[in-house]
Amino acid sequence: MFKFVLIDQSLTDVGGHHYEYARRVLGAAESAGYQPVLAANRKCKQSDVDGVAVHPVYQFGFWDQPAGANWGKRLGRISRRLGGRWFSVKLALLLSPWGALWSQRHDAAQCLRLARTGPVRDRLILMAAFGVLWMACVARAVARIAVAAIPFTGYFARVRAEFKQSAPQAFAPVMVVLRRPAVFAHWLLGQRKTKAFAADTRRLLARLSLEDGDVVFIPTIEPNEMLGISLLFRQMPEAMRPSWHLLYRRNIYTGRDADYSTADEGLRSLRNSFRQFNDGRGTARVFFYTDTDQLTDQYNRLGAVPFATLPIPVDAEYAAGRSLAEKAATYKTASATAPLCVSYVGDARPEKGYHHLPRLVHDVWHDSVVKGRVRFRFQSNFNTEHGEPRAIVGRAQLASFPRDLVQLLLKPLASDEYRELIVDSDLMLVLYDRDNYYARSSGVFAEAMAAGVPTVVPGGSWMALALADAIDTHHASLLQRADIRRIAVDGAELGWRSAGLDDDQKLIDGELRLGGQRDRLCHLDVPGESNYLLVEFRDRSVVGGNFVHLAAECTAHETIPPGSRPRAAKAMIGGRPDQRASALFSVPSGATRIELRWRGAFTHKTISLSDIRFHFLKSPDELPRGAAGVVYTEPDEIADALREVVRHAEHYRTTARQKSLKWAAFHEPANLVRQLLDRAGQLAGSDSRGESVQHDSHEVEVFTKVAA
Amino acid sequence: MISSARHATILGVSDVSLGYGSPQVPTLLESLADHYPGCDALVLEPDQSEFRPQPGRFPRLRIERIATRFHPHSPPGMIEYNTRVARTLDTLAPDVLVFSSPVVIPSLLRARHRPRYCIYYMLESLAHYDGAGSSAARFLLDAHRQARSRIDLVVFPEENRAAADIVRAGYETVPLVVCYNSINRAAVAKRDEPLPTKNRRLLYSGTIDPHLTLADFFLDPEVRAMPLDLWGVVGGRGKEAFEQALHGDGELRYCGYVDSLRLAELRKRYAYSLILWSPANENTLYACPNKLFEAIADGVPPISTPHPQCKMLIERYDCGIVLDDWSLDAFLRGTKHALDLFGTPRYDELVANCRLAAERELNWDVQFEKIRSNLPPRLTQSASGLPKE
Repeated sequence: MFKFVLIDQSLTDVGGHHYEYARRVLGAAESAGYQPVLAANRKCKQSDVDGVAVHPVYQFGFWDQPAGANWGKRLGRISRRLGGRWFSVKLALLLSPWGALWSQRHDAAQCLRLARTGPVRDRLILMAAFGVLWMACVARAVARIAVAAIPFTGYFARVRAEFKQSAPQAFAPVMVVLRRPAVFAHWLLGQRKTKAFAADTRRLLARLSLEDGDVVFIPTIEPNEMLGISLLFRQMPEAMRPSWHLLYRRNIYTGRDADYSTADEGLRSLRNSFRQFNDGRGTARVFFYTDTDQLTDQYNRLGAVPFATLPIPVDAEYAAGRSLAEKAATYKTASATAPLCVSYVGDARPEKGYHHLPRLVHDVWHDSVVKGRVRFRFQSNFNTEHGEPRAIVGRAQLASFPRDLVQLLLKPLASDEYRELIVDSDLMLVLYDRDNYYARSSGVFAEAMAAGVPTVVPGGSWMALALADAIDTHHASLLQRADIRRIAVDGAELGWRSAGLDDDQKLIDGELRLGGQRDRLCHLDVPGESNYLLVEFRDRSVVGGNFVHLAAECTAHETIPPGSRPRAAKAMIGGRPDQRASALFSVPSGATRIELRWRGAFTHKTISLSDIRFHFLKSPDELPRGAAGVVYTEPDEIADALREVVRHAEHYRTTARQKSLKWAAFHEPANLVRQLLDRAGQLAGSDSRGESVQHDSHEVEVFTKVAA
Repeated sequence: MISSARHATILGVSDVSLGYGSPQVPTLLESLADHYPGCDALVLEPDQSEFRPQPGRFPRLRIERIATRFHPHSPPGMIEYNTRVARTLDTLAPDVLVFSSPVVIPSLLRARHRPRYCIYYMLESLAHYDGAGSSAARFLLDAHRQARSRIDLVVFPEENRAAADIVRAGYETVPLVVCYNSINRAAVAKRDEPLPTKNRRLLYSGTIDPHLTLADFFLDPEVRAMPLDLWGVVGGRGKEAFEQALHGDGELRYCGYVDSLRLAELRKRYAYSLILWSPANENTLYACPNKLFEAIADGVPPISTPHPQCKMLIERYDCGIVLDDWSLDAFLRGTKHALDLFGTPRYDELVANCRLAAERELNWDVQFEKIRSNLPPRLTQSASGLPKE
């Protein structure tokens, strides 16, 4: 039987995303007829996880901390203790008459106040101080006279100056290092990590005796570890026999695609690492992956080795949980007596938006929580020993709410508890930092989507892109509804101008170009009784990630006085080249004119939009803004997003379930294993056939037949 | 002379004379005294010559002035004040200690007595000490870290300050709460008395500093034409010349300084209250001004620069106007918009929302509830240490 070795050098314990990932993939590998093997960090004490043999061989985790290293902590403790003692001495001196004297040393006359009204002890100290001071002055005068009496004036000063100038030159190489110690330390650590990874993997392979047909999969890797594999190939040629699959999950560019060109040079060293690896891998079959299309674009931009996108393995039990919930009809609606369960899952970290939760709870407290429409359940364990500052503050704020309405889960959850938390939720908050998560994936989002749980996500993120299809489909369906009257306006027929200028003009070839510092504006007269405005366009830009920020503001109203306008509604849409994008705004009752303000959400570079159309809708009932989830533009809109889901709970549930079918099929662990095997040409049974599934704008192959 | 305590004692240590500045600490002490009935509640205050004692201002508290030979805010005065407070702590042996200023932390560290429960009401951001670079600032930051094990609860008035200051002070593991600076009591907020007739004027009260509180706006001709009254003391560089410049043409009036009680009476008659701070430093960027909460409690919609907490609360209750940014343009847009609204149903809605906000959340009773849940169930074995049911 062939072996499937999953190396997770950071895995130290049963629980958490590392463990879940490994468990799911190894389970799928076993089902595909492979013998699963797990290699973990040396801190991992388990020899067996769910029947899978564990080899705890790795010294370094992904985050650079070597197993067993606690010297830093010890030194820190000693240093703090010594610092504390020294502080006590300083404090005792300061809060004594000596301290008061010292604070007045520049104005000795003031000290007479101490002498006049102070206790006897203070007076004695004052007299003693004057005595000491006098003696010091005498001593200093004598010393100066003695120095002046030495012949060859300036000799010592010259020697000292020369020493000061020349001594550092003698230690120039050391000084180069000392000038930027962090860079040196990082380099040194990288070298250690490379060698340690090679040695640890050699030890592992010596135990396992891998052959052709075996698979080694490393689901989280960084370049130093990759170079360790290169070193391993040189030291141990038989390591080239299995196929190697390396998955990169961290973004290498920040911002959006339009900004990448400015960061290319900074990635030269990374690019060279990949090239060095590729040149030195010989006959080894090594394959590179990421887990989102955006990350794949980033890594492929390096032009060193080809990358492909892998699914994010989500247990079939998430989808099964969804079906069970459907069968049991346990889903609550906002009008029912049971409140909707709104969850946050994952570590309490600012990067994951944990610090937005107190504001959200406060914002909806009176209209949703007190009225029994929602209750909250937040996983709140920290990712570090004490947590990150904003998460600490957020958790403290949340702790002041009644526990039956805002439940905080303070400990990491076991797999079953974790899955239950997601599957039982009616709404999942995925409030991640949209800049960090434009390219990176969210496991929680993937699991919520598979379970058919509606989500609230930030605009301009990977999660928002994943929801875009469902939302656009929903908007398109509104235009087909017989009970909704609509009046369409073509963008090409409108006058457009730049903010602050009076340059009213038509679009050229129907194309709107955003860019530069000025927003583009258009005004729309609201047809009578319209209550919604649907805006749609097609992004004609060449590169992806061009999100458009839209703000719709009522500028004329039947009853509200001029100048006092309701707050602008905002949307952040687009990001998918050559795809349709749409946003739905509600039109305030009585509004007669609306101003739409357009700009690139993350760039001042040119964004070209075509097929701009506006549809004023008159709907007899309130329309949901999105589908499967709600995308917010700014964090202060999260509460509105939640209220939106509460108002249209049934719609969001249904659309999330619809979306989950394809999502869960693509992200099955078995599909991930199949893709690895397929890429390595090892997929057993040549008669497997593919079925096309739309995912993230890419056609991907989902193999429906399990390998023989 | 301070007599030694027989009952459980709640002690506050102030670094300023009470009744003139932030009322949070005496308000907290009064609430603690209510929470543990039968306890003695005492405050130590320094002897600031410029401020007379105000014993009647806080009837629930016994206020003791600590005499020093130097001004308590001068270096030797602070040393002396700390020394005497440390001795008093040892004499009184309080069960609960409340302090709000970094400059009294040395006394806490010097005292041998460790109170049963110690609350640090961190009204002042530590950003100033972090960036100062002086040995005194470093000493006080060090003092914060050394006091970590003696502090049981830190109360912050603003979330972002809390996140920054727990790192500076090393308080990541110390329990904390965020209490907004709304010291008005819920009973007052809920009362159903009609609001006095309002005039169509804007109120600015507090420090008037051309840079720190954006008071240079008040010299702009368009602003001078606005119905705007300024109450407060002119500060900052060139304050004499600036004060002269304020007395000019237009509807804007500089009315001088009044105490907080009189100002509270005056405020209710204004249409709006201006909350202006420049985001020049962390302390002012993350401003949580008392006057915002006072205005809301008095049913006067605030017009505020967009400091995170001010923006969040005004938007949450839709009870005022948040300026788009800190520019003069935004100020003009916001104030004109506000004046346009005056007298319309929308204005009445803003006023009603102010009262709703004060009733629901922005009152001291709600804020104190966050602290109450952290307090020890009893202070002593005697009945005086038991909390009120």
